[in-house]
Amino acid sequence: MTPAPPPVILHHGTTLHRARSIEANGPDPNYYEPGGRHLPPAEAFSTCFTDGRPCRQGTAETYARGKAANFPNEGGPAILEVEVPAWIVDILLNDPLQAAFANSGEARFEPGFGLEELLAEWPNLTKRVIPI
Amino acid sequence: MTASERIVQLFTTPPPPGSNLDWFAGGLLAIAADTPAVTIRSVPDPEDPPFGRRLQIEEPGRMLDGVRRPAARVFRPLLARLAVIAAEETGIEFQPYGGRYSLVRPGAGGPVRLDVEFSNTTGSQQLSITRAPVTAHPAHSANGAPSPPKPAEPAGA
Repeated sequence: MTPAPPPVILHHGTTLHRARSIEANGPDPNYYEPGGRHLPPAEAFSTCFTDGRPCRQGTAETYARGKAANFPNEGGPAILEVEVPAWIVDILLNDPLQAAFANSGEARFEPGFGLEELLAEWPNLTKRVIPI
Repeated sequence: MTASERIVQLFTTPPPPGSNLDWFAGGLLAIAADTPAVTIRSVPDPEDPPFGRRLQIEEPGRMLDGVRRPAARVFRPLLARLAVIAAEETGIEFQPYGGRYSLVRPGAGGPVRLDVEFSNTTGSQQLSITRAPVTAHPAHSANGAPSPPKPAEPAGA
């Protein structure tokens, strides 16, 4: 029997408070940033691959520091590390646009493109928060 | 084809297997080098709640509104990729959420400078590119200067 491929380790850069909330509750496409509900929701959950490929849209650390600078009362920058089953990442890789994002280093989970599956599996995934 | 139509075609064409976001970035910059000015903004789409977005593409004398999925999906990652390209080519600090930079690209009559101003936040996603002669004074005061804050756009219904 062929063994299942190992999970894919992904990094999401954000603030410490948000990382802990996402770790506990999963990414929330309905998440509204502080500033009121007149802003649109977050929509997608963006992560970087950690397999050595460059993240050509910016590293998770860069986004963590930028987010922490914009929201200084949220505990500073942090990385949420999550091990995502390969079959969920494959959902992205099977879409031409999501595959192009992946070739640029980004695993981007959107409604209809892996986000629902990620949310369903979230309680079972190995995760940790890394303050930076 | 107008620049707007070319951008829609670019954004709705599935990228070749094995390609990355540079396929879109290079295509967009080539279109911009051929156009005096173009602005692309992503706004909530009330006809595709709750997360749908549509693109408005504006060039001198015309506006193309209502460009929906899949075109709109590429926009935010593309904004980020262009900002990284700017950092790599000009040495400015990568600004993930907004800023200004200039890039030089081949034009029909020789190299042209593309002055870019963008925002990439939850509340504002916009890219404006103005073409200028390479020797002209930059449209913005300094390469890499952050854009002035943009008002947040109201969420769609």
